[in-house]
Amino acid sequence: MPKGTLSLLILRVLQRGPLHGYAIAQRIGQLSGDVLAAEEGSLYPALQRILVEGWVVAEWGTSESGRHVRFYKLTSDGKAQLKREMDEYERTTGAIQAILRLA
Amino acid sequence: MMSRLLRFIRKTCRKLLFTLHKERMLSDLAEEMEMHRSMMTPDARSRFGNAFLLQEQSSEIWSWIWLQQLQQDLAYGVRSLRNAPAFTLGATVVLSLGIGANLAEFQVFDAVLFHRLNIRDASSVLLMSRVAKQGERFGFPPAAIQTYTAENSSFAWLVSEGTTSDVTIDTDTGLRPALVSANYFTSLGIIPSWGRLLDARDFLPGASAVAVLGYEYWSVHYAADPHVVGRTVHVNNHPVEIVGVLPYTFDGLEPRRSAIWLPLAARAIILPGSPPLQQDFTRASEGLFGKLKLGVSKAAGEAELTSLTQGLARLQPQGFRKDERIQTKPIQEGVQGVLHRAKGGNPAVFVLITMMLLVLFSACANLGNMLLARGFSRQREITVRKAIGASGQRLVRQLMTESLLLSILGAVAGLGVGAVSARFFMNAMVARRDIHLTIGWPICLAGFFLILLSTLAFGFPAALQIVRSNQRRSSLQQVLVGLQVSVSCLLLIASAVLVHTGVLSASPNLAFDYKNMVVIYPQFYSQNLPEPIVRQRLDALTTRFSGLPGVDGVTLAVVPPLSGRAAFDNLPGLPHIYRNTVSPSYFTEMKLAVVQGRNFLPAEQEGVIVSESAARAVWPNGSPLGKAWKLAGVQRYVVGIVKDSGANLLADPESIEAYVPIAGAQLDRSSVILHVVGEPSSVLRLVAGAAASLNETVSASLMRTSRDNYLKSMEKLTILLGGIGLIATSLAAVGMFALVAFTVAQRKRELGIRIAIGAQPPHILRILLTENAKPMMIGAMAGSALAVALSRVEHSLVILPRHETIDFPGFVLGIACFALVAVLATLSPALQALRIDPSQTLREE
Repeated sequence: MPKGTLSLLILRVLQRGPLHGYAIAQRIGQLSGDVLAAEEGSLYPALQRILVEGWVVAEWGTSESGRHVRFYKLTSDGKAQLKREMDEYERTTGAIQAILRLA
Repeated sequence: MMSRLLRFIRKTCRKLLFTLHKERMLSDLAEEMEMHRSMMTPDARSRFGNAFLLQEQSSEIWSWIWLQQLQQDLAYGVRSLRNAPAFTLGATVVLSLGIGANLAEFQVFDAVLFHRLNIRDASSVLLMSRVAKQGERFGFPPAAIQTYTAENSSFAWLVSEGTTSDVTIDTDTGLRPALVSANYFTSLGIIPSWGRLLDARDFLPGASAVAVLGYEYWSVHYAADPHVVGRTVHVNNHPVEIVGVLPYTFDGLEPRRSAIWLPLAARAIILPGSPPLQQDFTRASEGLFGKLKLGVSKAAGEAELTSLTQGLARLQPQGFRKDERIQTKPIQEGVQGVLHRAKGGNPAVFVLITMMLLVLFSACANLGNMLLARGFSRQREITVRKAIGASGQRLVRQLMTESLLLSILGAVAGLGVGAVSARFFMNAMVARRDIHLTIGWPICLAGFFLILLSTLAFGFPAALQIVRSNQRRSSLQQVLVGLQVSVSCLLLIASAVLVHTGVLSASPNLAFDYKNMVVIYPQFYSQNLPEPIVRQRLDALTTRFSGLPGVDGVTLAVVPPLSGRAAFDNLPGLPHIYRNTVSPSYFTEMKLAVVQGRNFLPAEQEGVIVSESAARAVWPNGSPLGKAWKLAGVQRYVVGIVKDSGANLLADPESIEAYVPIAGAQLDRSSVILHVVGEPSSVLRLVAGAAASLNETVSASLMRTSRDNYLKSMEKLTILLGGIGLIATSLAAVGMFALVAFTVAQRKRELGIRIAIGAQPPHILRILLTENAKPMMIGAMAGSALAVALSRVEHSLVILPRHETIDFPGFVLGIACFALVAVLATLSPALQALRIDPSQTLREE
C-alpha cells in the first residue's frame, strides 16, 4: 500500500459525514479489504497525523448503539486536501492508463 | 505563500497544544482504542495490533521527536550528574575558575586601571580635535573655547576640561589640578558627594576663589571628612575655599586622578602671569567636549566650529596651524575607551585578554579531559546502551546534553565566583573601598556564551571518542592532557616572569639621593625664546633657588630621573642607551660618583660620560676612556665613567646610561634640580614664590613623590598578574588531580590484583605516574618553549619593564611552581591507590 493511501481513504470515507474510529475501519474494510487487514489499530496513528494537520476535528459523542465514542469530522482544510489528493491520484492513474493503452 | 505560513503556524500551535495535554490525549486514545476493540468480534480482536505500540506511535506524532528526546536526555543527564557528585563538583570548579576568575580579573582591571565614565548620556558626548596636515591635536586655547561657546548654534553645550602643572595644596605637593569651564558639571549632570560643584556664579568677575576636591584625594588626604567643605586651603599659597567633593564615580572625561578641580580662570593662581582667558591663544591646553543639539548632524557641528576656527586663525595666526578643521568623535569609556584612544590597541589590554583566553582554554581542555576520563569509566554502560539499540548519533547527543548541563552549572557558578573574587581582588589591591564594582552585563553574557560554546566544542570530540572507541586509552586524551598542561605551564611561567619583574621594579636600587631632590620645570621650550634669553633667565632662576633656605646644590638636566621623561638611543647590538643631557655639576649634586676618568669641563661639547654598565656593554675588553663614540648623531669621546643611577632600570632593566653635556640649543628644555638638606617639601613650597618674584611660572615636584607613584602602579599590576598566575595554578592542580584520580578509579581492579599478588608501593606509584608522564612532559616542554617565544613578542607589548633576555629567575620560579603543583596534585590520588584493599575491590565486581 503506497504511503498516504490510508489517510486519503480516511478523508474519503469521512466525506459523507462524521464517523467514529470503528465505523471508519468498517467502511474502509468494505471499500478495500486489505488496507487495514493486517493491523486495524494502525488507523489511529494515521488519524492523529490528520488531526495534527488540521484536516479533521475530533469530538466525543454517543454512537447509535449508545456507546461513548469519538467522532471525526472533516474540516474545510480537510475537504480541500481530499480534493487535492483525489485530483493528484486521478492525474497519476490517468497518466499510467494512457501509457498502458499505448504500450 | 501567506496561507502556507498560516497553516504552518496553526499546525505548530496544535502540536504545542497536544504536547501540553499529552496525558489527557493519551488516556482519550486508550479509551477510544479499547472501545474499538470491544466493538470488534472476539476472533477479529487479534487483528487490532499492539495497542501500546500504537499509542506510542501516536504520541510521537503529536509533538516533536527531538523535543521529547531532549527532555529524556536532560532528565538522564541530571540523573547521571547527580549520581557522580565528585565529577560534577570537579567539573563545575574547573569551569567556574575558568570563567569566574577571568570575569573578576577583567572587572577589576576595568574598574581600577581604566576609569569608567559616569555621566548623563555618555554615549552622545563628543570629543573635539583639531586636524591639520601635521596631524591631530586635542588641546584648544582657552580664548578659542570662549569664542566657540559664545558663537556656536549647533551644540546644546560645550565644556572644557584641562590641567596644568602640578600644584601644592597646603603642604601636599605634586598634586594634579583640573581646570574646567563654568557649565562643566551642570552640563554633564554630575552630582556632588558633599557640598556643591562649580557653577556659573564661580565664574563671575570678582567671584571668590573656590575649588572642588577629587574623591580619591579627599578620602586619602582628608580621611573622607565632609567637614572639609567650607574650609579654606592654600593652592600654591593662594587661599581657595573648598565648596564640595566630587562623587567617587567621576574623575573627569579624560581621567587624570585630579586632586582638585578649579574654574578655568583660576589658572592665574597656578600659573602667575598667564594672560586673561579671552586673550589666551598661546597655550592649547584645554580638552573640548560637547553635545549636539537635537537634529543637528555631526558634519554640521564640525563645519560650524571649523569656520569659527578659521575666523579666529585669521585674527590670531600664532594660535593655530594652517587650514585647521575641527573633528568630533564620541568619547568611550573603560577598556573600550583605552583601546580606542591608544592607537593600535593598548598592550596591557592585549596581554590581559590573551591571558584570560588562555585560562579559559585551559579550563575547557581540562573539562574535555575529565569528560573523556569519565566516559571511559562508563564504557560498560555505553556498550549496553549500544547493544539494546541506541544509535551512535543518539548517544553522542546524549553525552553532549550532559556537557551542556555541566557548562550551564559552571557558568552560573562562575558568575558567583567572579563576583566574590572580584571583591577579594579589590580588597587586596586597593585599600579604598569606594571603587564600586559594577557587574557588566554584556561582559557576563559574553562570558556565559563563550563558556557554553567552548564546553560544547571540547565536549564534542570527547563524546565522539567515547561512543566510537573501545580502546582504553585514546590519543585524544593524550592530546588534551598535553594541551592543558602546556597552557597551564605557559600561564604559570608568563605570570611568574611578569610578577618577578614587577617585584624587581617595585624595589629599585637607586644610586642617587632621590629623597632630597626637588625638580623644577621652567618650560621655556613652550615659549620659543632665543638662546641667550633662556640662558639669562635660567641663570637668574638657579641663583634665586640656590639662595632658598636648605638648598645646598643646584644643577640642570634635560631628563630629571623618575620624571617619566626619557630619551634613548638604539645602537645595533646594544641594549637601549638612556641618554641624559646634563650640566657638569649634575654628578656632584646627584651624589653619583665618577669612578674613572673625569667630569665634563665647563663648555666642553664633545665629551660623553658613560655608566659602569655601559662601559661593560660597549667596551667589554679594555677601558673606554678616550674612545670615540657616536651618540645622538654627534661624534664624541668618552671622558669618564659614573655609577649606574638605577632610574632607567625601573622602566628597562637591561638598559645602560650615557650623559652628554648641555649644549646651548637644549637649555630651554632643561629642568632645574635642587638638592636640599633636611625636608625637601619645605623648599618645594617656596619654589613658586621665588620664581614669581622673577616673573617666572614654574611647576615643581619632589623626586620621591614620582618614585612612590611609579611604585604604586607597579604594585597593582603585579598583584593582578599574580592573580592570573594563581588561577592558572589552581586550574593546573585541579586538572592533574582529576586525571590521576580518574586513572586510579579506572584501574582500581587491576591495581587491587597487583597489590594482592604482591606489588610494592613504588611499583604502583610508577604505574600511575608513567601513565600520564609522557603527555605531561611534552606539554610542559611545549609550554616552556611557547613562553620563551612569547617573551620575545612581549618586548613590543610594553606592559611591564622590558627584558632583552629571558628573565631566568622568573622562568625557574614558574617551572618550579608547575612542578610543585604537578607533584602535589598527583600525589594524593596516588597515595589513595596504595590504600586499595584487594579483597574489597575484587568483591565489588
